[in-house]
Amino acid sequence: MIATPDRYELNATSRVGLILAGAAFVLAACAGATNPSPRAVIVFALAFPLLWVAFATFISLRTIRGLKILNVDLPERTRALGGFRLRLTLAYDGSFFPAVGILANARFSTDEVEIAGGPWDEIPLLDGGRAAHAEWEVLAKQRGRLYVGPFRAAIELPGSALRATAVFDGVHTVTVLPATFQLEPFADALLSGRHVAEGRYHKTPVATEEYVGAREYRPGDSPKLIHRVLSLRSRDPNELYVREFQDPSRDDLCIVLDTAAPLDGDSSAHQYRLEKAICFVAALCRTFAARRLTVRFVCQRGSRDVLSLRVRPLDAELDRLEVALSQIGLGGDRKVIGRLLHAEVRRHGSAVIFVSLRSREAVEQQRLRVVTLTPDHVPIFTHEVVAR
Amino acid sequence: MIDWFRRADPAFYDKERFVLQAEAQVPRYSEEAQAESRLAVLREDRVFQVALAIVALALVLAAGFHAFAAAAAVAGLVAFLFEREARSRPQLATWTILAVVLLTFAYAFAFEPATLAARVPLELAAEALAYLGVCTVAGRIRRAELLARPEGLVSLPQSIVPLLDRSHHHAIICWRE
Repeated sequence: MIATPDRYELNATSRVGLILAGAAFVLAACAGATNPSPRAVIVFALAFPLLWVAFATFISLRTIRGLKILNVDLPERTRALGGFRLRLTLAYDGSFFPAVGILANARFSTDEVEIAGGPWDEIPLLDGGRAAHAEWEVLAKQRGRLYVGPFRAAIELPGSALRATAVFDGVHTVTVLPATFQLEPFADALLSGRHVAEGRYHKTPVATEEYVGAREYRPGDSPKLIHRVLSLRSRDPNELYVREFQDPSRDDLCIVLDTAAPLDGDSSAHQYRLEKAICFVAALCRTFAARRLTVRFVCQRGSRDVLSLRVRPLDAELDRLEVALSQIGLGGDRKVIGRLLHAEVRRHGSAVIFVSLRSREAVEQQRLRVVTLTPDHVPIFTHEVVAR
Repeated sequence: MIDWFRRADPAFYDKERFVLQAEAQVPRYSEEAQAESRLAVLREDRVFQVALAIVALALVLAAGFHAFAAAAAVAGLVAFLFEREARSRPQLATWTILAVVLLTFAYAFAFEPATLAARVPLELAAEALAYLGVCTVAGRIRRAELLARPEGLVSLPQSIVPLLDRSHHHAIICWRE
């Protein structure tokens, strides 16, 4: 990726200083013109500063035009509170004079806040045809999107009347995934007595089931399900394997996230509770995935936008969930979430966990067979340290 | 159930309220702090001090003490009037020193042409020395500017603290390597 500057900015190094030095120069020139007797002294006194300033300014302007971005090294995704290293590679294709004292910085912003100009990093000397790096450590605490750019590179030689800045307008987006809590080991208790243990009544697979793997034969298994190829391959002639089938539409449990603003507290308290709930949900899904459970995640994103994700215990699907979680806001409606909860309870029985933003469990939820976790419950299952 | 949680971990239960009320902030690197840092670098810079002394000596040698004193007084007045500008834009000092040199020469050209004509080689040497000193001073000021630039920068204060992190209220933190 090679990017040339989209525009150049020229600023006086010091307007007052330039006016002052200019006035002194004019005064010295006038004085020299009225009494031109030691001509060599006057010419030298006037020519030196003029040539010095002109040369330094010319070099600054000339070298800034030779700069270009060779590469911007940053991750596509990062985790909140995790941080990443940003590396900007600048190349200089001028051959007239080496670029001296290049300063580079970048703009960092999210949807709400921004650092208009990050800290300047210096590249002391860059010869023609060479490249060099400027590096920063960036830590994003807020989940969502982090925009990096535009980048700026500035040159200001001592004595130059102008500070020349090359602006590269390209903006890079980094998805900031929610940080995940480190859950206490007893988080498994959320599942105890809640998971429906269904017996298998049919001995042969039904039409909705799919082959999921093979296991050793247990007494009672249908002989029709014996996996002949695997059984013949086994060394022990008495060792048999059977094929296993599972209904792909059946999930082990469901997690419903509350996205409706609670009635108590102010907006910052609501936002804080949502952040905490999202991170808790992410951690919970990872914990259940480690136990090979399939989780159905449901939440309301907007007025007519309900997100329903089936998260199997695969890294790719957990990543997909976290990307979705990084974009969720307080866009839910209490009635819609109530209806969603009812639907999930009908579907899953008691294997539903509702992560609520309300400080107390609502009366209508108390009648449902769900585990309701209020913001007060979340710290019980969570370590102080945040997993990175 | 909540009562049981309260009894099990009362310290943890109260954390949310504490987090919301915490108003700790990482201070930004203010212009004032940077100016102080630059001045500290220049105060410890021997080369800068020697170069300044050489400029003063060369000017006294070239144009006499009176001319230098008059020009230095003008520069002092400017520095006093534009102190705030000088703090935020240190290159003002470079241009002010150059102005002092030119004013000193202007004084000498206007009022002491006979003295100058009598010792041209010495005058040329003193001028060259003075300009060399100005260039060195400019380089050292720029160096102080680079050395004293902020290590890092934090975003605008953010009212929301994600998670249980209570270190500060900022959404983005960036610092140079």
